[in-house]
Amino acid sequence: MVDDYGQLYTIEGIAAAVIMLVTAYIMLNTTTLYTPADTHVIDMQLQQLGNDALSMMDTTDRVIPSSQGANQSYVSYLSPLEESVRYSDTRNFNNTLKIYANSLYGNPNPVIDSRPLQWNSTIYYRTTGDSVGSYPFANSERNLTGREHYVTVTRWVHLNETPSNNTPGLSDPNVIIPIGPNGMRNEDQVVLLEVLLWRD
Amino acid sequence: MAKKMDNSGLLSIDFIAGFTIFMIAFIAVATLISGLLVNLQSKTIDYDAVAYRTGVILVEDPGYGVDPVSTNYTTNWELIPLVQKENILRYGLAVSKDYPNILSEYKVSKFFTIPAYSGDYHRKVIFDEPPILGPLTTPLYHYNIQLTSIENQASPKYWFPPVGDEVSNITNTGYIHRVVKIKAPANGDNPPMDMAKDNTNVVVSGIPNGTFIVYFDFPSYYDKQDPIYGIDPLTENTSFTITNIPANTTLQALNTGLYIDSNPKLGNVGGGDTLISQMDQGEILLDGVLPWTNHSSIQNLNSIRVFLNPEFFIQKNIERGRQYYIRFNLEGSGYNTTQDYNFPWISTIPGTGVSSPPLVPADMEVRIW
Amino acid sequence: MARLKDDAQWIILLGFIISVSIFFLALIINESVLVGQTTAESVLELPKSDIHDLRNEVFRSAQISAEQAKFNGATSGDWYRDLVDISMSRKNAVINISVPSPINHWPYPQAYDTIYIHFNNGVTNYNEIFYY
Repeated sequence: MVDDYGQLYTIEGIAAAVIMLVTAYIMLNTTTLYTPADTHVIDMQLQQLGNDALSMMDTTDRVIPSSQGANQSYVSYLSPLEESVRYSDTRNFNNTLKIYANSLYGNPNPVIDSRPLQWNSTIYYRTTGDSVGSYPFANSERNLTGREHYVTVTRWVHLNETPSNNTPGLSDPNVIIPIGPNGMRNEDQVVLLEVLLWRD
Repeated sequence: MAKKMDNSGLLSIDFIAGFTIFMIAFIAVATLISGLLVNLQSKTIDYDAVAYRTGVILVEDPGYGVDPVSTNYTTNWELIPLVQKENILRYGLAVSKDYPNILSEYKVSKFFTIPAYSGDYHRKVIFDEPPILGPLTTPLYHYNIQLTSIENQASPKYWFPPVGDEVSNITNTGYIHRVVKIKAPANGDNPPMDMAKDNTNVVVSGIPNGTFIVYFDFPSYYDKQDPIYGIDPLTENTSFTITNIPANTTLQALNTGLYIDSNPKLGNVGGGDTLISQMDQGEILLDGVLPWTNHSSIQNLNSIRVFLNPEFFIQKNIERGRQYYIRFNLEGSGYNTTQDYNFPWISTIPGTGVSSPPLVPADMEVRIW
Repeated sequence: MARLKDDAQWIILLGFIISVSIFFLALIINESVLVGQTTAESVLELPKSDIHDLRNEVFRSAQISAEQAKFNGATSGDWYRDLVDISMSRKNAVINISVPSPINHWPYPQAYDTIYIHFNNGVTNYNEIFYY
């Protein structure tokens, strides 16, 4: 009953079945092409711009060592960013960030970018209980709805308690830390300003 | 069945079915495979990457070159004379690599305004290296670099003509936008040197009466100043004004010029110090307007304004570790000698009352296509 | 065994081999596309701004603390623990800053002090000895 007729037939059948299955599998698999996302370039440009703007806001423009008092040295000078965070001056922060990040320049007068940046920022601090707390800081006109594609840029801000002679631009002992919610330590500290940036 | 295995050329149905499906699937895959390889061997160049790299080199790198005199590597490429610009390896605009995004005004003005440098930007800023070298090679990239200060700041405004090719409405450009601060030139007018108020009026043997001395303590500039807030006459333009010159004073050419202080430890300039060079004509404005030509003696001055650029010091082979001073022989002023009026520097030590030169916010845009 | 007509064996066998090799190549090419990375992604991956920011902040804090002799971990008013904790929590980066000898040179700078900075965000590892 069992003989060796049809061997090649059988092999041929098996091969054909295997070929059919495997080829169908490959065809379905290769339809999912990997396309490098173009949004990465935009993210890179946006992140670089945001980091530059925050870094420049964190640089003091002018150092004017005071001749009054031996305790003044120019390391007490607050950068515009440190001042904004320390005095919770969100209006100043918003204006400065808008100027730094949104200007483009025509020749010779700068124009404003037609697709301006929007942002939403938060301050993170280390609490007295050694955990990390946060409070919201400045926002641009448009609120974050959660559906925007945003990039995150951060900047360390040093909140300095050094007493001054009430000279503008220097640390002011009349402003007492905590400037945020309870739990913020009342002393020299470093906080993280985290800004979410997107274009409309 | 054995009887079917003959050479009549008939194939079984299932083989035909399988083979048909195989061919359809194979043709589909072959079409898709040709699409797969497009992403791996793209003919489109990533212009945004080139623009980003160019932006980083310009804004975060101080540049690099070989100093022709000392044959050391230096980041002050702007001080290498124009005829030896082949020694420049890379153009960068930052003050130093520890302070990214702070640009040196002298580097910026040279980069944007000297046409002789712009022929090198393909190789030394954009690093555009076409595969075939030689005089007839056309570069791969067009570029356009612009720098403008941001409005609404109470500080000097900078606008330079853009460098590179004209931007027409080309759709596929690589683009990067950087925010920087330009360190403006220092100004010794802050406060001005008032001959009446600041005169120490001492007698120094060997130095004629009426000499006004402006002292440059170069070691202090490097030891005690912050690179972005300090004043560095050897790498920046500087200026100062001597005001309130009494009537009947004559500015003499003899005994006026740049001197080296041979004995700085003594605390006084000495009469025996050697003259390095006389002041050149373009450096001094009398009464703020008239250049001092012919080194002739001038009478009835109110003020003397002096402009110094780094080449003033470099061309005279100034050593950074020594002290120098500029003497003005103001005969008939009624004073003896003003000793050691220090050209100011911004110290980290409190109590020195001079402002730093301002940092001016600016935008840089780089386009590559 | 009865003699089979085996004239077409080679054709079928080669057909099988060729289809298997096409399958193999297609699989390789399919997966090799996932290996590439755009330049924009590698730019985003390098924490250049984080490192610049950290160095700047350490330098600024050291300047301020040098005046106030607060640069040690013993007191609760230490800023470097702020950096370490917040960095771990928000930026997923490990930071370690250590000073071998106390900084105490108010008001005149004397010999150089050193600060060791270590930063690791899982992708980039950065170490520096900072002379201040």
